[in-house]
Amino acid sequence: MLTAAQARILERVRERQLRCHEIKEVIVERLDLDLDPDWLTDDQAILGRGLELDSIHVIEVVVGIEWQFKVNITDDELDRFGSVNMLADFIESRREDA
Amino acid sequence: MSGARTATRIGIDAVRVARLARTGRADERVARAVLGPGELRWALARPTSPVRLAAGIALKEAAIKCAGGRRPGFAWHDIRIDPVRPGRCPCGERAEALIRGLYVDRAHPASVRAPGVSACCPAGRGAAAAWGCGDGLVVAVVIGRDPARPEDIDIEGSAAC
Repeated sequence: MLTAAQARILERVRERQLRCHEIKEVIVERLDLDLDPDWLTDDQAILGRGLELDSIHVIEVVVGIEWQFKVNITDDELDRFGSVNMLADFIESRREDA
Repeated sequence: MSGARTATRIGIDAVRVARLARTGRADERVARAVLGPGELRWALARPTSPVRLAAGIALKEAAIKCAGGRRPGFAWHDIRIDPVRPGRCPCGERAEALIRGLYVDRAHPASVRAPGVSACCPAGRGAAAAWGCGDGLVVAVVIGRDPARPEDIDIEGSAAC
């Protein structure tokens, strides 16, 4: 039997997993990648040598994330795209601010 | 003969139109992320809009390269494209000649204003630019000057612009 505190932690973990999965789905869909989103790890680097995205790829992913999560990402916030986890942190912080 | 050409910068970029044919028409949000309102009206005004959308992105990417890379606080909308360059100037003609040499249909003159890039000519309203499309590929070039070295106006004939 879980305590109330444990249940809250478990719920947060599930929400986090779901958010990371949704981010991966956006990346795969927007980049038209032929792979299962879960092949990307939560620590998968997105920019730089990570997925080797060019500028149009980055625009597509940013637009997809903004649309999916109803957040606004400015051009100089792209360092938040260091990994799926970092992006999930960013989205959560934006939602808390809202 | 003019002096050394160290202050002149050239940025060049290429965008395959097919990539924008999907995102540009079906998803105008991508275009809005990169282009300002006036640029959007120009880019989406004709059935050939994927070509113009590709040109807009290629011109902005070329301007970023001309500036030596993205600067802190970078924003796509801070780079402004004027698809009609008033008058003729040696720098603009050089930009068009570069584009014509790349097997495109024809060179379209333009000018670009961007942080980190000055007009190459003293009276220029923006950096000289040109773009063209050939074989499904849009190529753009921007010729500007390093704003930190305004004294080095060194393109032959540029004083006449």
